[in-house]
Amino acid sequence: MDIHLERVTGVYSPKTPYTKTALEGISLSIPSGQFVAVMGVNGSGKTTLVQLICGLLHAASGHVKVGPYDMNKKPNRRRAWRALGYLPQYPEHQVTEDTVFNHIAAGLGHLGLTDEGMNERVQQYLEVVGLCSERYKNASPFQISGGELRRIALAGVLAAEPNILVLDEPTAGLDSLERLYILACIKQIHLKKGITVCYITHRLEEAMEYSDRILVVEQGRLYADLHPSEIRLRWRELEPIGFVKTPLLRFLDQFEKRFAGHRTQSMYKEDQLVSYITEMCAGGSQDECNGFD
Amino acid sequence: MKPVLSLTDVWLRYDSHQPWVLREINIHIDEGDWVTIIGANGSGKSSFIRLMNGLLQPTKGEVIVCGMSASDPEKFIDIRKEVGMVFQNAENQIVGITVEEDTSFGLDNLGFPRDEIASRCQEVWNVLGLHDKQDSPPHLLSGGEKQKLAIAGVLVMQPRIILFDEPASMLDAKSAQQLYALMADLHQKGCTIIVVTQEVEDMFHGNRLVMMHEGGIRYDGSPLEAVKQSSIFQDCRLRPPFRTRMRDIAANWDMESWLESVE
Ligand SMILES: Nc1ncnc2c1ncn2[C@@H]1O[C@H](COP(=O)(O)OP(=O)(O)OP(=O)(O)O)[C@@H](O)[C@H]1O
Ligand SMILES: [Mg+2]
Repeated sequence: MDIHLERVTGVYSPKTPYTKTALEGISLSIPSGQFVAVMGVNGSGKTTLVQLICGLLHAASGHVKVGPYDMNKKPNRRRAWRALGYLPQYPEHQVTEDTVFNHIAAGLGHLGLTDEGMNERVQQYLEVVGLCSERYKNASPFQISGGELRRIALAGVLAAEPNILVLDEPTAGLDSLERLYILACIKQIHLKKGITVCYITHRLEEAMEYSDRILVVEQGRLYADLHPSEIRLRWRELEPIGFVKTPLLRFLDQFEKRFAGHRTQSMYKEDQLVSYITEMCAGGSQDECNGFD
Repeated sequence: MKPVLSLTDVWLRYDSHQPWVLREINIHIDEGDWVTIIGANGSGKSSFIRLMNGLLQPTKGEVIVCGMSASDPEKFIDIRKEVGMVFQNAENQIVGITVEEDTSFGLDNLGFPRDEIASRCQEVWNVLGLHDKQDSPPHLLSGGEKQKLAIAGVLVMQPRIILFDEPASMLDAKSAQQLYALMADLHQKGCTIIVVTQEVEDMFHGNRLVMMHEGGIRYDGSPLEAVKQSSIFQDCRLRPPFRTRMRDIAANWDMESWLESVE
């Protein structure tokens, strides 16, 4: 299912003193199966954008289409919701069920599964996020760690087997290994089932590592739409709107300054740098290696 | 020099049937220190800093804040005046019905003069980028804006010690950088700063790094020493910072020296 936005405007609390036009004139298409990162400073309109895509906020003008469904119409939204999985920011604040099983099952009511089918489904997706189903399904969501709870919230969204997965800062507040783990789960489902992923993050290193496309929102407008490999080339555009170099980008800059002529210009992922160094040192080109000293 | 904050043989558990959340904590923090605390989810970081302003009482051991015992109920208010805390979940900390009211709430309560309140608020909003939001109701702010509001409410009080529990978790990269610049400024002025963070790369801001693992302190020392030892990070179930990852690769080829030349 493709997503299309055509000259979309997002307005909060219209006709009140607090009315706020949070997004204006957004046109873009996300083809099915893309992994998109949404970036931008605080208050730029990222959450507003994904809520418009999910039909949780209605476009004040313009059109949002998800697959065949025009999201301005209510019956359409209901149909589209079956295909959409949305993980809000800090989903753990919205957990109300007494057990992990009930929490996940609560989101699957519309699928009409048998008890057995439900059991299987919950078990399957707890395992997808790396949690032992036997151990967790009867646990209370209030007695497990923050990282586990986040995984459970993700399992709940994945268990409905959406075609489009929309995530609002899914890694905020998690420790460094837990972040990698969650992203690896998402990436794996994305690759295996070809689902579309649209996710908000403030971490440029994550966006460069995992996405195929970065959308940058700035003051309610789409400011840039680029591939991670273009980040370094277009840095002059990005710096003024709050982009800060990651340790990898700073390292590559230094590297090029110190050792001119190396083929690092096109790199944007850490493992590219690592294989470059390894190849150079292991591949017998000892001269090149010595050149470093 | 007398420490401004000290925890001596502190143990903590939430009830007697549950395992220890913190065990055998000994730490003495000097006035003007800038301490970064890192550790995996569930390692006890938030409990640890909640002991430092008397919000939690230790099950065993002693906590002394600015010469006062944190378990003395009579000292409770005095301790709160010295120690400000920015909570992990900003929403819990927001009390006012507008940004302006929320930021000035604490100063108002202490009977500060109007113009003093106004100038302190203005200053803090300017640094945090909240100046055009002063009339907004907090629940209409974006996630990051709420987090900034929680920070503003603490900073205007100008406490002697500030505890930050993951203050940048929802901030964009630039705002996070500005927040750290602000901390550096406070630190320069003599403020003692304690920051809990999940962002391992942020450990270089402070002069002292504490790494927690399963309720205990696994490392307490200079961040520049820690960076050379990836095993400590692994022991604490953390991904080592970029610099450490690169060091490990360089070490395979005996190339630490060129690495240092790149850094
Ligand atoms: N319900 C609301 N009513 C009025 N204004 C709102 C409302 N929700 C958000 N806003 C405003 O709309 C703008 C965009 O908000 P949005 O939540 O989309 O930002 P964001 O890019 O997700 O920010 P963050 O990184 O801080 O989460 C902000 O200026 C915010 O203050
Ligand atoms: Mg947001």
